[in-house]
Amino acid sequence: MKPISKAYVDALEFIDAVRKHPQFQNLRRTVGRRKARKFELEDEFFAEVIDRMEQETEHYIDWDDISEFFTRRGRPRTTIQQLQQSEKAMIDVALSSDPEDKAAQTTGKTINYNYQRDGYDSDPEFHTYSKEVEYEFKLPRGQVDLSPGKTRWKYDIDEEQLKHRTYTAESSAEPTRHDRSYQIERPETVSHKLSRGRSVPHYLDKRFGAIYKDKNTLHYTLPEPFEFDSRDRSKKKSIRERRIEEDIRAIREEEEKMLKHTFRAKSVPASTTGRL
Amino acid sequence: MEQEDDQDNIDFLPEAEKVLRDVFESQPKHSEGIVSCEILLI
Repeated sequence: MKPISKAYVDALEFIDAVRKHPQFQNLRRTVGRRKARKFELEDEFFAEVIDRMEQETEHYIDWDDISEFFTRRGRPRTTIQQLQQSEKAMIDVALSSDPEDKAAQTTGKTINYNYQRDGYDSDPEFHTYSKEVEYEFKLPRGQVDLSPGKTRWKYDIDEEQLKHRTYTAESSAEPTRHDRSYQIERPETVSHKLSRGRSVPHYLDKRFGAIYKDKNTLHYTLPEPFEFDSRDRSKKKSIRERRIEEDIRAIREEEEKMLKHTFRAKSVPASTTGRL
Repeated sequence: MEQEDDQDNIDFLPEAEKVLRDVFESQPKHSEGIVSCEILLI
């Protein structure tokens, strides 16, 4: 056998050349490696090992490293060490961050955002709020969406009322003068009652602002989760994520155990209490 | 003892190893010194 282990090749060029090899298509579904007892990497086809090598390898690679990707261990020892170091760094970052936020991010804990105010004054003149807006945002699976920059709330909406309104909106999409039902069901705004009473028609009312608007005339935006978001949510956790969670849990348990430990004094020895 | 040896086992076909070896030998080689210098520069 030729001593080629000390020579390095460009890893990406090597992987490209392997994929372009005429026999690669025949070999791609053959056994690449089997699972080792001590390691988590499952059985892989030849093409899958090549794909993983492309993700994990460094810029240059020698023959020993290539063969180690095909061992049951699945990776060179140096790569395993690097992965472990990066995992440890991630755990340190996770432990040093706010535990509430972390718990929310990892376990999907529901945070109650109710009774918070929006960032705008209802009345621009007096800078007062007409009422406290009840925020609630729940995804269909009952989890709060914590992705940054995404709207978290919706207004408190009566579902029955919403159905009724959408129905009337559809039925009166293009109302005509002779459509009596539309004229009868047309809601009165709050501004009628507040300003001039029922006798004054609404078009003479000059009041303007959020607090004078009738609740029934408001248009609500119902936030819906993006498709890519739900896709990420249903994705299986990676080995690294699972390991990190397990490690964090183990560290937390150890801390709890240490905190709850009760020190108990030993009984006084007989040599102290007894007579000399 | 068997568990220790397990992780270094190679199970792929001899044809696959031949393909890898052929491709490796056909690639332009870099010496260890040049590789480490380039890594340092990066």
